[in-house]
Amino acid sequence: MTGGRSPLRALPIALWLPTLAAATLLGVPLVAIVTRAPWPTLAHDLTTPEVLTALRLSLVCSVLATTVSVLLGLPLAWLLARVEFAGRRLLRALVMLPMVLPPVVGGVALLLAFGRRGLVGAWLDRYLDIQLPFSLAGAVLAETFVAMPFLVMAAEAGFRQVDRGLEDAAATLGAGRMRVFARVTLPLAMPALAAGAALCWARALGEFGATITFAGNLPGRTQTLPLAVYIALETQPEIAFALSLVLLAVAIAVLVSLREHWPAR
Amino acid sequence: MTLEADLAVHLGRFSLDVAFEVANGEVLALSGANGAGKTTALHAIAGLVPLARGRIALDGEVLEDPAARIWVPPEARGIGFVFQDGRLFPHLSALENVAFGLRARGIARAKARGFALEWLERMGLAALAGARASTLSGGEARKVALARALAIAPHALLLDEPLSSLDEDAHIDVRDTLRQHLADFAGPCVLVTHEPADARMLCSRELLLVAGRSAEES
Repeated sequence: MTGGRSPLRALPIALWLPTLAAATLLGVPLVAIVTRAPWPTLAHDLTTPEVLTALRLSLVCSVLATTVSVLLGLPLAWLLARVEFAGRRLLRALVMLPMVLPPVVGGVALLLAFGRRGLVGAWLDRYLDIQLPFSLAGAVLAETFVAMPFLVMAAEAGFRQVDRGLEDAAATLGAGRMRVFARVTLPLAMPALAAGAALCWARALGEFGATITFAGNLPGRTQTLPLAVYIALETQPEIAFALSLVLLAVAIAVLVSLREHWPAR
Repeated sequence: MTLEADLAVHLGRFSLDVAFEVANGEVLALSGANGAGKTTALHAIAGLVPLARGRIALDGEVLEDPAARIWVPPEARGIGFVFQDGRLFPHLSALENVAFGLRARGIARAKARGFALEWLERMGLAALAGARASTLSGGEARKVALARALAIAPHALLLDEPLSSLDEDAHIDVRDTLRQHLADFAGPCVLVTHEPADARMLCSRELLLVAGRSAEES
């Protein structure tokens, strides 16, 4: 944009139509959720026992999945950001894979790994009497599988942008590795880590495919909000609309809270 | 009791190969053009860059000797380092920056903060104790960095261009502060500079580096 031309004038006429079409395509469905939401009965629809159960379960599972992602993902992100080792690129590709993998395939993979006859699952079943499929832990596992990459990617970028010179300075002052990490690296990377955790949580909250495939659709145990929306659409569409509105509001809230971390800024 | 440095470092195509000793209370100026290896020499002494060959010893204790497989990590060397850009921790206050090394040494929080405040007072910066490091002026940041390095009571002190890119008033102010504290410092000190006037005023001896080698000693 140069010479005082208005931003709109900068767009060639030929691109107006596809641009408008794209905005409509993305925007109208969201507007539809807001306009078709059962506003008068919203409070009632969102407080029925089934809805409250799904809401609570979703919160519990998504928070647990985010916690597991942070505990396991932060060290992994730090390793990817700071340590040169053979196979680092392969490991990073592996971490990113669930972001592009169809979630239902993720669910199938989890079944083959942690199902009762799975690679690890058979062992868990036989020796520890742990069955992950169709359990709350299974829902958390499915959400973690799909959401953790968002945390790892954001945290790796966050750790990378921390000036290593500051870590060196901390070392010359007598700080060992753990102290450097806790007192310098971690606080300086914190905005990126928080953004990653928020993205991870939002992704976990919305997880559908892997969860229904691996953990099933048991109300109170594995029927999270997105599953409840899908089921309610058949029988009580009003409730599906109301829950969709809730999930849309959460998504918008997460985006707004992340506006400092949007790419290309 | 001295700092003995016999440094051979390879970094890509650059190589540093220089040896010198600095006695207690002595301030050696390392001078030379950009890329001569001055900063690399300091980083090697501090343990931030590994030696390919050579030996570093302080007060008779060997800190690094690849041939003997000795490598003391930077955090255990007890060497104070004032970095070129100050490298203050931007998320901490001036006081917390100075207290950082004391806390790392296991000194209790309240005691470390009291001690750090004394150091800031000595620098005439007590009023800025609570200021975020990122809000300090260039001269203030250099003095806080000096206080931070001295607060850990180091056995040796390394300063990398402590007066670079300061305006004239700040330059003179920080130089006076430096001169006073270097006079009080009992251990060996190495100061990197490419300002002959600063070297003359602050240092007892000068070593000129050219392309990673010692060119002359005066």
